[in-house]
Parts: sequence; structure tokens; C-alpha cells
Amino acid sequence: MKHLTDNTLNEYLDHTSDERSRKSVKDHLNGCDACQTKLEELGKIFAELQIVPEVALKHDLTPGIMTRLNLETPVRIWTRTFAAQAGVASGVLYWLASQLIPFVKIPQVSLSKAVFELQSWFAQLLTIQVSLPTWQIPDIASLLPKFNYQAPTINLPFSTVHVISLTVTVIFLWVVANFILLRSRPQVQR
Amino acid sequence: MSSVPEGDLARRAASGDQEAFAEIVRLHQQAVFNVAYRYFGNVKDAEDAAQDAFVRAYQFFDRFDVNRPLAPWLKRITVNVCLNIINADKPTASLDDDLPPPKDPKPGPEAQTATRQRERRMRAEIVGLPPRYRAVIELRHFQELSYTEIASALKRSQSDIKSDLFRARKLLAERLIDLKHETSD
Ligand SMILES: [Zn+2]
Repeated sequence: MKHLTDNTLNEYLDHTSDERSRKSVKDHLNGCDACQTKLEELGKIFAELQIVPEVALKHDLTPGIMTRLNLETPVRIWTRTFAAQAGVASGVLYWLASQLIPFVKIPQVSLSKAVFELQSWFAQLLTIQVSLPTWQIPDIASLLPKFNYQAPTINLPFSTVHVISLTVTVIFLWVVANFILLRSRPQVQR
Repeated sequence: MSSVPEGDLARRAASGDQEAFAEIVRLHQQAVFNVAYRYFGNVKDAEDAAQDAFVRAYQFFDRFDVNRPLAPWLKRITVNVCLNIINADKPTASLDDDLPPPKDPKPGPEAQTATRQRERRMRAEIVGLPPRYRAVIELRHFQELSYTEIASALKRSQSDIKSDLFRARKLLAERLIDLKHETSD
């Protein structure tokens, strides 16, 4: 006679075997003391595990958990609203830039001339003579390279009214944007 | 305790309502803590793991089906968190010298001491099991999941789960027999 395997006994106690195999296990157990004993030994574990009670929690974990949630949950900046706002903003910026660029006049700068000026400036640095007894502060201003630098100019007929209204608009937008940012907390990711 | 239906709480928590989530923590912390306590056998590690489990639950709340009960889901997460803590080789303490009192103490002081001793021995045996075995014992005997459910909770094959579970029981049975011999000597 073939004895019941550990697997069969475990599945029998877990009630996972189908009716037919349960019936054949029962039949075997009725006629086999060895398997009956094994089953009882295994059954004891089930009973012993049952006696482990739920213990009482000493203190409320909620405050600690809520603090950790706010610290550890990654903030999702890229919300749909934020993406839409960023899209509008970059569109406006692009339009503004494309409007302004044709008016910007970049002065011609000769690269070789700039390099030459830099070289001669280094050469001058090398020739600094320091006479120790009578210490003199070298004339630094004369040592600095002399670039004929011209700032780019915007050929727009700006009037005072233009400048003032532009400044007011920028300040207004800045205040509104800050208000929006401070009012709606970024949504947290789950 | 709360008159708000659990489904409503879950829906609110799922939409990012922290007050609703706090209420969920209040309602389920006892159960979640006990899962972790069975796993580690000491209050410090169990409280840490329970906290981790809730933080994780919050972060993955969009994967939770709000029409289902919360407790089984939270307890399954806790088992995985406990396993992760062990797998990350975080140092954990041993079994508490003094077990916390049971949630529902039974009357009768004499019966209590005897039961407490049996409980302590059983907890020590569970904590003494390899981490994987602890997880399957927890999920089968305390959370009463089927083999298939355990397999999906631990993302392992059903045959692995069965072999771990049966070996864990065998180990427990052997140790309990040893203990009986020790006490009868
Ligand atoms: Zn037999």
C-alpha cells in the first residue's frame, strides 16, 4: 500500500483537493494509522497557529505616517494643468522672440583681432616687474585687454510709454503667477 | 468607529484626500501592525514596517480597486514590505522579552499565563523561520489566502508557494515536537 505524501496531506488540510481525491484520502486514512498520525501532527500546527492572538498597538501610528507621506511621496510636477500652462507660456515666448529677433542688430566682431588682443594682454602680464624694495601697485587698468565691444542694439522706436507699460505688465504677470503657485499646492503622486 | 463607508474613504484617498487616508490608517493600523509583529516579533521593527506599508499603500493607491475591501490589500502589502526589509539586510531586533498585551484579553489569570507561554513559543517559532517561509505561513494561516492568491501576492509560482508552505509547516512541526521532548524531560 502506498502511503499518502506530505503534499497530499497538506492539500487535504488546506481543503484544496477536489471531492474525488478527498474521498480517496479519507479511505486511506481510515485504514492507515501511520498516515492518520502524520495528519494529526500536521493538524496540530494549524491549531497552534490559531492561538497566536492579535496584540494591542501601543500608540497611534497615524501622525508619524502622515508626516512621512508629505516628506517621501514624490511630488508630481508634470500635471496636465502644468503641462498646458507650460505649453502656452513657451508659445508666447516663441512668438515674442520671433517678433523681436529681426530688430536685433548684432555688431560684427573680428575673432582674430580679439585673439590678438588677448595674446598681447598675456604678454604684458609676463613683463610685470616687481621691484621689492619700493613696492608699487601695478597699473591694472592699463593691463586689461582693450576690446572694442559693441552691445547688440534693438532698432525699435521705444518710447517711455512703451517701457512703462511693459514693466507694469511684467510686474502684474509676476504677481499673478506667484499667487497661482502659492494657492494650489502641487498634487502628490500616488 | 466611523460612519463613513469604506468605499467612500477609499475613493477619497484615491483622489489624494489625505484626511481620508488618515482615517484609513486609523481603522487598519492595528491589523497591519499585527502582520508585521508576527513577522518580526518585536514592536520597534513592526511599527516601522507598518509605517512603511501605509506609505507604500498611499503611493500605490491608484492600483487599488476601490470596490474591494481594504484590509486584505493592506495586509498583503505589509507582508511584501516585511520581506523587502529582510531582503535589504536591514538589521532587525529579536523577539520581544515582554509581548504586548492581546487586543482582546481573555479573563482568568491562570489560563492567561499558560496561553501566553504557548503564544510566546509559537511566535518565536514563526520568527525563527526563514523569511520566505514566514511570508507564506502569514498569508495562508493568518490571512487565509488560497495558493493562487499567495502566488500572485508574492509574484511567485504556485508550486514554489506550495513547496515553501509545506516545508514551513514541517519545520514548525519538528520544532514543536523537540520542544515537547525538552519540556517533558
Ligand atoms: Zn498510509
